[in-house]
Amino acid sequence: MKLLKEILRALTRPPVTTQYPAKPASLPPSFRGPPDFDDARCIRCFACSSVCPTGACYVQDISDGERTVLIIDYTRCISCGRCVTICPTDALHHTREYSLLASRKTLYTLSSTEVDVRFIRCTECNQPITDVSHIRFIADRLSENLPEEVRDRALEDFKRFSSLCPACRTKLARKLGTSPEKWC
Amino acid sequence: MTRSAALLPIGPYHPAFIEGEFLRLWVRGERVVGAEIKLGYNHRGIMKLMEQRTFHQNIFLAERVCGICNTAHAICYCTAVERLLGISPPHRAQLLRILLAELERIHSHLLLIGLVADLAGFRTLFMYAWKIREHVLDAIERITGSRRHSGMVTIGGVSRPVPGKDLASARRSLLVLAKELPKLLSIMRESTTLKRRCRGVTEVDKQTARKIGFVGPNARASGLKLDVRAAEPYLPYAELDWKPVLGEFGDSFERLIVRAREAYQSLRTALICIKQLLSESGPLTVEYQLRAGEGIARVEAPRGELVYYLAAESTAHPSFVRIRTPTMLNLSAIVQLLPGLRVADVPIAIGSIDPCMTCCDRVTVLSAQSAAVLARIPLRALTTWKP
Ligand code: SF4
Ligand code: SF4
Repeated sequence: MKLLKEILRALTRPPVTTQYPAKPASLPPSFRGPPDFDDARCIRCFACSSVCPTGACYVQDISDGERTVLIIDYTRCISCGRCVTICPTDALHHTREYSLLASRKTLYTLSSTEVDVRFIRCTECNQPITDVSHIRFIADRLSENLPEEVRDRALEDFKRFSSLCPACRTKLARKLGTSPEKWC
Repeated sequence: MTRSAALLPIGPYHPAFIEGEFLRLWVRGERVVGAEIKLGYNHRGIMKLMEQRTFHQNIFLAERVCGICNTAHAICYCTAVERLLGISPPHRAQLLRILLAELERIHSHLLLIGLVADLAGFRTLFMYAWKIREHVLDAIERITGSRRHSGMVTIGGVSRPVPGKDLASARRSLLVLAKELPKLLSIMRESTTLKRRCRGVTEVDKQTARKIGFVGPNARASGLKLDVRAAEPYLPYAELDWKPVLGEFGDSFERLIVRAREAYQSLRTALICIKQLLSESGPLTVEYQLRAGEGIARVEAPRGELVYYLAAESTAHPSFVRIRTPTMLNLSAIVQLLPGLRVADVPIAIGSIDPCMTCCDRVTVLSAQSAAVLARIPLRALTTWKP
């Protein structure tokens, strides 16, 4: 009996189906669409590519440490939002795109304009280290967060160390006998 | 016994199966006299894959073990990691986890009720159950931003805050559902179609249920009080006035009824949870540092007890992961109950345990020449195994 009532109600009141492509889906405020990025803000820190669980977003070196592109492959992206959370400069954000239809597979790959990574090279061994803007970002953060009395000294050391690749940096640190305790 | 009987192979790929499994029935006339189920057609190697990814990346992988009970997997994985690291998430994060887990339980139970109704040929109930399931999915979507695979649970808490506005609008969808669920229950109880198809099919009493190894709602339908939420509270369920739901007859029909009742109780818990969340605030995550050790967690997933075990050697990757999904136990239990049934009742019997085959798939090494089973090796040994 109860079910009969339900059936009659469904007859008089239309079901939940909507005219999908004509009527856009209503998205919740916290909807996580596939991420998009703001080229200008990206500092090529590679954080997003190292946390992405599926390898959907990565920084690709297209000419031996001279130019790189940041790529998001939507066929792999699971919209988990991890890259958006981790990005230090808020360069990534979720779109509100819910219909990922395209006629060609290449359309599923979003890549940034090729950026000349102004790679800093190691002053000792000429290995590319990282992008200038990344170093600048770290320096800015340091000067913001460090207490007044150690700031200048720390920044000076930072300058010295940041122009070396990790291997040479370790060598220099050993030579100088620097240990983290020195800064505590 | 099985000598003179005819073999009825179903699967591994069959239009009636959503997932690949190989069911072999020995039948004499209409009666099943022997049954065997073979898994391994959908093994995805997730446990092995987890050992190659970082702890944090694995949360999303764990979520994808199951499309239906993904929050349970994420909670179980994160609880195991938290035990390994010796941390415990803040209270607000725990409440949010309960909320997500209970909403998921409602959705999963409604989904199964619809599926079994469909198997029994009662399509209207199928449509109705899935229609009211939309309300709970709406609520989940409001809270997490997506219908399934929320990505909310993280190591040490919950990754995103939920604004009060979203909680309130989720509550509104749940209140609509609160009116529909009792209706669903009484439709199920009154329906002669469903009763005649499901009553008395694979009836088990308390002792047998324990012996053959039922877990989750299937065990509770036989009156066996088996619920991890009560036995080993991994989340503060005690605060929310929650008690396990028990049935008595233990047949396929009772399993559905217990699920419908449990959905209603989860709804109640979720509403209390939302009320508490709206009235209190606090941090959502705790800081942690990776270390070596091992962690094991048991969680009551919608289908029963889910176990994650992991070990780590102070690297960013777990060194060993083991998952045991509830279907592993339920499926081996139901196969023991199949002999004696009519062939037409087999889908109902298997459907009523809420199987999730792919989640529980294991790997077996076969000989390419003779298809004989060469070894059932533990995954840990797979890397070094040589044929
Ligand atoms: S949303 Fe997740 S899967 Fe997609 S690019 Fe970001 S981290 Fe990778
Ligand atoms: S995390 Fe942000 S800033 Fe860093 S590489 Fe990715 S998009 Fe650029």
